[in-house]
Amino acid sequence: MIHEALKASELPPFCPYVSIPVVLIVDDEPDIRLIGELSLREIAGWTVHLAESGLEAVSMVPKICPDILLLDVMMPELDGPSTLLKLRELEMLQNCCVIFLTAKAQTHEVQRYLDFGAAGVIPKPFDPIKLPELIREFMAEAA
Amino acid sequence: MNDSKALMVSLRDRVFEASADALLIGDAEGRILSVNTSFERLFGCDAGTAAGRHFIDFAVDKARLEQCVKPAPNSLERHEIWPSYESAHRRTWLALTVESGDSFLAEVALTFHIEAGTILGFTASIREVSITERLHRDSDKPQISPGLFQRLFEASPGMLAIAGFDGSFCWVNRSWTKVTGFPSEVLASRPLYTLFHEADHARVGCRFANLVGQESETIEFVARCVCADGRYKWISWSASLDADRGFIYIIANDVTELVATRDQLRRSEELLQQTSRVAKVSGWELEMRTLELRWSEEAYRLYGIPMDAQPTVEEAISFFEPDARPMLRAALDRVATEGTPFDLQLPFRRPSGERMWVRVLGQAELVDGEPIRVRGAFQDVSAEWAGERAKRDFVSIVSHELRTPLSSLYGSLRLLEGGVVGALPSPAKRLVGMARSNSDRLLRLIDDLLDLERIETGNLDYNVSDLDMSQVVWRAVGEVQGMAQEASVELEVREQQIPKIHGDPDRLVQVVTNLLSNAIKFSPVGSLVEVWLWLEGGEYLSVAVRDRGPGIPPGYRETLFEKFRQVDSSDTRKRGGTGLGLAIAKAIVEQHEGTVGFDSTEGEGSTFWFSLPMTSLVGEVRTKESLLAPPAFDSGLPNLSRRSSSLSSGRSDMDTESPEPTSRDGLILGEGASRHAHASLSGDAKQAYSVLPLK
Repeated sequence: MIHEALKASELPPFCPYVSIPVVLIVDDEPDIRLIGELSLREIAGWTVHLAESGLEAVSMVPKICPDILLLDVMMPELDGPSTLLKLRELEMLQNCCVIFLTAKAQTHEVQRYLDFGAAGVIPKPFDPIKLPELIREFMAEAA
Repeated sequence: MNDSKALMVSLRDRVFEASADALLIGDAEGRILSVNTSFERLFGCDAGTAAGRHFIDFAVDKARLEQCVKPAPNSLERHEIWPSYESAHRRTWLALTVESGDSFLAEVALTFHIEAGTILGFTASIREVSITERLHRDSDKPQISPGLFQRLFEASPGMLAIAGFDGSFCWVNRSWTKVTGFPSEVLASRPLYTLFHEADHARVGCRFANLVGQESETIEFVARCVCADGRYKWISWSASLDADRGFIYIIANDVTELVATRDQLRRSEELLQQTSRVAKVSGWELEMRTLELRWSEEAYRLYGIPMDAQPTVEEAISFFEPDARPMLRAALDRVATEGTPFDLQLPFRRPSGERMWVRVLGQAELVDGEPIRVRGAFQDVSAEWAGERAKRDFVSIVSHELRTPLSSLYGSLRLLEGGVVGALPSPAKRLVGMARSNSDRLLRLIDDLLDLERIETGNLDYNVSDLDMSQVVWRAVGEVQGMAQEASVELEVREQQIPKIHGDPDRLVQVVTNLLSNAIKFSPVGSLVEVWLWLEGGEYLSVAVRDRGPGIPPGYRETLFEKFRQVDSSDTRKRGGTGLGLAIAKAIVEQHEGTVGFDSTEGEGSTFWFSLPMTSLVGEVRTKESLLAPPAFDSGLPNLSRRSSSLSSGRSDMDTESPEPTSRDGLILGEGASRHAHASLSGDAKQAYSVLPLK
């Protein structure tokens, strides 16, 4: 079964269920990074990497090839959408599910982030207990 | 004797013939009996043809001459000009026509011959009147002989005078006396210059020197002139020279009031200019017929364009940002066609690129109900907007600064509570739970405050679309379903099929959710909360949420929709609300041009409702007039007889026989037997509504 699912042609854009997903959390606030890390590692059992800026994320992505990118929108220097554009330019985001983290967004802004190619938008503060489930839902939808 | 009489008759005939004036003799009917040679010459017709014609035929205005020639005898009697009954005179000016068709102005003197109250006939003396010719014909010294021109000269309301080169008056008319108070003899005896104010002597002297030295044909000036009472008046002088005869002809006018009015006007204009500069207000005026746009000086300054520019309406609009232009055009259109006034604040850009906010007001000037002119004002409100922006920034910064640490707190507590980092002993778990729920509440409070702030300042973005109110209601039910389960409260939806309306679905979900969560909070365990959705007379849709809670005490009803106005402030803590839900709901509904309200009976429960116009203009240009009056609500609960008559045919797939509402979507509302929602769709409205107990 697993072998069949792994056939490249049938692979969805990202398929975290076949292995332990690798997540990169990009946020300039250390608290959010910690809560996210604990949630995704302890509850979901995923492999979690952390980046504290967009620039750091750009340098890390080629090395870790994340399945999921949790990207804060408001960051100094390189903000979330710009980081995403930069990573796209470098063509390093195939099969990666990008989810934006943002302060309680207004409806039209959510649409803007989705237009950037994000699979979903998670408003902060998120419930760490439900975070893995929420990400899975977005990935299922995008697939 | 006979000889001398015959001689006299013959002489009289010759005098008649030889007179320089055109003479005629007519009968009582106005027919011409005889004319002299001067008449023949003047009218270009011989005596033979003239005789027998009516004198009236020679007049341009025949009716007027007829009145003169055939006066009613009693009108002659009464007239003081004709004291003698035997003959009566009348003198008038008339336009007469000569044989060739030309016309000229003539002075006509009529003498009527009367015997025993009957007019026998008349004689008329006709003299051509031409003022210029008359003057030219006069001798070297202007001959203001007693007669027509002297009367004209005297009667003129303007101050007329003839002065000599020596600087003294020769003749002045009565107006001089009227204005200056000096008798004409006094004026005539004084050198002219003594009339003028000392401060004006040099200027006036210079002008007269120019005139007499023939450097200018006419001089005009305004100078202060002394009056008999010692005061000065402003007199405007216009003088021209008759060098041949050595006279100066003067026409003067008292312009004291005019000067005072002009001064007053100038002062108030200066004041207005100054005020408008300080207040940054300027005026504009649009002539509807010509579409000519006029601006006050300050408007040019606001626009940052030269004062001599003549912008058209469309050019003036083009200074506003593209988004704002249609709104302004629509408002102008309405004021021009319907006379609806407007007051808008719009983004604006100067040619220099500077961005501003400009308030534009417009009001129609109506004549017979038709707008003929639109008057308005511009006001630079950039500073106000900057202040508003600073306030907005402050609110968003503060809320962000509060939210960030709270988010960490909430996340950490949630992880602890969930046992992610190890199970907690029971008392610790309770404490952590309490801390978590309070941080949660604080976050919601900040969100609500932020929402309210945005609504109140008009900065909440509305994502308007055609929406199905039924979906809105069901989404809200979905949001509070967990809360209802926790509180053991049953939810029931009763709805009618309703056409789509225009509005922001997310915001309306927020309204219904707020009403529902309030209802659930105040519901006793095991009781029912109903949501009603129905059409109100085709023009409004209404949503009502009914609970069986304690009701609202009378003293709290007026302020219930204000901020932080829960009945008991301890409720805020006990019930976990923020105290802002109703205020937000009200603000959102009002943005949709709807109304909110409630009905409550203490001990029985409350019904909170809102209704929206089916043709909401939310997100579009609005004027005061388009804000519809609230619907007449006699009760928060649907009135059966009224409503049932306005229902549509309903859905065919519904079980119309069943008076019991049927479940619509069990998944949304959970599976517990006591916690399910009923949907009673309007298959048969009467039956659907019959489950509702009416008050």
